[in-house]
Amino acid sequence: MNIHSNTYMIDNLVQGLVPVKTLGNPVLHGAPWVIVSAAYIGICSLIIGVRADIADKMQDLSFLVENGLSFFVSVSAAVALMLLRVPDMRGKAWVSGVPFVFLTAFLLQTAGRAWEEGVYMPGLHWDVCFAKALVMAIVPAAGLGYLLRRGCTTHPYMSAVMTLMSFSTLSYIGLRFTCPVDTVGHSFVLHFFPFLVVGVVLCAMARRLYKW
Amino acid sequence: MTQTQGEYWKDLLVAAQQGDKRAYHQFLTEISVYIRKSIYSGLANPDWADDITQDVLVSVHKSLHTYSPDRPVKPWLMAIVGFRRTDFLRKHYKNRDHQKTPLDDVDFQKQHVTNPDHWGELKDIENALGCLPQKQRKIFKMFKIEGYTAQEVADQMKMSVSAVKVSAHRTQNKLIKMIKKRDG
Repeated sequence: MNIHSNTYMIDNLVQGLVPVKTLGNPVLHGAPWVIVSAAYIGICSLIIGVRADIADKMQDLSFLVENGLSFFVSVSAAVALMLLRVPDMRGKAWVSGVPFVFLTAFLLQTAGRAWEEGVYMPGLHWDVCFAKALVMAIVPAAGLGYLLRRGCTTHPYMSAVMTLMSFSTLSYIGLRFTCPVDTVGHSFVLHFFPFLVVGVVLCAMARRLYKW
Repeated sequence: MTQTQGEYWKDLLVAAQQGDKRAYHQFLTEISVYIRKSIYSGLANPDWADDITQDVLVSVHKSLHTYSPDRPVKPWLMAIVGFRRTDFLRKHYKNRDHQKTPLDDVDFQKQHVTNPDHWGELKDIENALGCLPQKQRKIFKMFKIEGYTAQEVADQMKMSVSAVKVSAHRTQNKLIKMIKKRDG
């Protein structure tokens, strides 16, 4: 064992020691993000313009379930992400499975809608929904980036997936509240697909993005 | 009641978080031995254990604030160890370091490096290789000399893996024949 180099390194590290403020409850750290992001999405929806039939839609069970599940995916992914900032996840590694459960339920519900209405996929072209998605996602994504800087994740890929799930599903709700088109194809291609692309990039760069 | 190692480390770590340098020194010294022991058996090269241990020590320093005093130390530490170990091995294999041999390895040199007395044989092989078509030569060099895998050669040459293997095998037979002919 190279005792000398280890001893030298330990001496250096000890010299650089300063008292640290321990990271509090990771879940409580996520709470302000959920509140601020939800408020931001709400304000964006009001500025962009809420869809005209929103009153009817609020009576539509399918619409409420879809957005409810999306919200649960977002919140549970944010909580998991806050725990992922700590190396041992404070012993709650199971939490990262929860968003996938909600996501599966969300996808099954979407598949059910697609089965009911028939699958129609619009062509991939520039659409105002892309711009709306970008505007709605930017603040939640930046908020997560800021919170992650205080952590030291040992699961960079899972963190990238959770980041994507939390901000994209929240933005998805905003898009559903502003876009009057209800078809699954439109939702998938123009509301969901851009986030999939961002997700692939995020995962490819995960080790660099979450380096510490 | 005697204190377990985990509890002792916990006390040291909590003191270190408050800025106690002596406790921190003790903690780092103790875990450096523990880390090395825990990773040593799973590594192909024992020297890597020192490199990984040092990476882990730096990471522990950087993530000191993420440890919560109400949690045991070892799961927190082992999460960092596992992460750094994977990180190190990924970098190592990505840089193809496992295919490099230090020049001061005498045993390796004896077995695998061409003896200057046999320089003529190497020259013969090089000359024979020069007679082959460029594509065939490139495949053979990459696969048999430079140590690329069949898949990597296939990807670069835009061929199937089996075609690469067949080509390399045929080239080898051809080279043997050419050299025998020259000698004979």
